[in-house]
Amino acid sequence: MADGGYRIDGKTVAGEIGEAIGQRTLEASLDAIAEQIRVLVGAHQSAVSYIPDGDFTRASHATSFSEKYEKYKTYDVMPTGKGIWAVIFEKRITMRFTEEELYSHPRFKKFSDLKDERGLEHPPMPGWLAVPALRPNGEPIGVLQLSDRFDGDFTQEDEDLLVRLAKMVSAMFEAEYVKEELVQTQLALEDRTRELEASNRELEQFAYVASHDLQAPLREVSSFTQLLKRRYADDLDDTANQYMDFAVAGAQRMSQLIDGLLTYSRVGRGGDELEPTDLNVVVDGILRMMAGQLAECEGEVTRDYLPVVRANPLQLQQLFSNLINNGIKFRGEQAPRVHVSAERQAEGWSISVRDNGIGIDEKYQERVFDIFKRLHRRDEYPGTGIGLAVVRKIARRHGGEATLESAVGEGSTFIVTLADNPGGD
Amino acid sequence: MLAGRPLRVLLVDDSAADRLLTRACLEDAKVVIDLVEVDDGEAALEYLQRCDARDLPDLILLDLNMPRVSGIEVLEELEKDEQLKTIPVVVLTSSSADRDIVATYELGANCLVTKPVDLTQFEQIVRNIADFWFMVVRLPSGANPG
Repeated sequence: MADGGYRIDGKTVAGEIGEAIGQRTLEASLDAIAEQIRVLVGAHQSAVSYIPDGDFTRASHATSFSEKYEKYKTYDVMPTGKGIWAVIFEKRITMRFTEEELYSHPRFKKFSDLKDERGLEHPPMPGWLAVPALRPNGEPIGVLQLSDRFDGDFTQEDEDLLVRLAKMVSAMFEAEYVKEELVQTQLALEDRTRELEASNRELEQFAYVASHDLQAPLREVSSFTQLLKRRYADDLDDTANQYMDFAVAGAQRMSQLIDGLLTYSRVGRGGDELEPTDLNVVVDGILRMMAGQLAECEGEVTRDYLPVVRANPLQLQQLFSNLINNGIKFRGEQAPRVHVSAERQAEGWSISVRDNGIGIDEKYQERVFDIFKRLHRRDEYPGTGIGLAVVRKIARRHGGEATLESAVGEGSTFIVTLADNPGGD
Repeated sequence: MLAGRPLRVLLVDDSAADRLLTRACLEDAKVVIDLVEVDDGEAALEYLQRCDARDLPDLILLDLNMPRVSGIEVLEELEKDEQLKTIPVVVLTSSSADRDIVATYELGANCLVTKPVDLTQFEQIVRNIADFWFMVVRLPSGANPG
């Protein structure tokens, strides 16, 4: 018994039970195990139950009968876990009884309660050997049972054999348990993802409708104030005229914020089709549009040879336009210089937009990507604080990220990574 | 002047405030037209169906977002009518939603303008509409524009 274990009729127990365990489905394995333990120990009846967490509603059972119990082969009343069964689960012990011991046990319930549709009672049980299958943490996860030994009562040797078999079976039960847990986790994760997606869609829809419906009343406030000023400026003094200017300026600023919100919420609304996008073309297009602005401030934008990436070209145009404009806008004393370069990475590209502007203090570097976050007074540098939030959102929608390296007075470098396969995770 | 009368423009907008603003901008831009105002899509369609062919407007300024019959539905109705479909339509709207813009052009609108918050900009837009569309609608009979 040193290595091969029990040997019956020239076959190892491990081999027989191993084959039973290795069936494709849990049901097939249970059937094969029930058959094998009955034959290996030598009894007329056997049953195998997989009961995860002791929960009988999720349990699977299989039985095996010899010819003697032919009519029970279709008996299908499933155990409920009450009666003497429960003792195994409570105490996690092996039970080995003769017929008399079993029927006189205080927890034994009458079989007459367990009739199937045809009125067939639970088979009689002349003798009982039951062994729990335990998880590595000691929790019971199933039961192996035998009844009506071919010859006499169940012995200590039978019990030892069944305990060994239960250990092998419990390894398979554990695998099944972990698999089910994994499926549950997966399902819960999918549910959560669906919920998040729905909530995102709702938020986007909300921002969209809100920004659109907020513009109309705002236009009335602003336009009528202007009309008032136009038609009645002469009847009002300078202070009144100034108040009206403030009212108009406020309404216009709010309108810009709403436009920004709309722009932000639009990133990722439909139209996310990806196509090969030549970043050289994207950047050159932006520079053509900015030509006047660049000439005015004697700005210069240069680029290295840039790659073709899988992306939404309109969104990337917006991203690089925001970054290049940023570099020009936040310029210091010198004429602005912006340079765009690219670096190959393991699973995508890293694109850098470097400027010689005023730079950003390290403690604000993460905050600049927040929506509506501004670091300067409006009279210093006008804006809504939406540009970099849009940049980050677009980068993330392309499976990448937007970050920055900067020091006050030394310019900033914005780094945008773009994944080769943006939808691929 | 076309047939000796000023251009007739039908303004369809449910907002009294917006109609007033549009009229004020037309006045300030010194555009002389015969402006007919209706306050929703239903009234617009009624007016157009009642009109004699020679009294039909030369241009329609149409808001999109209106209760009951929306601007989109007005466009759909115009498109079904052989005569009405020839009237140029400029959509004047608060919406800058892509789906509205696409739907508008698909239904045969000639131009979509988002109403700006700034009155001066709005006036400029109204002036541009007048300069462009009023010229265009004169072309067929304007054999001698000079």
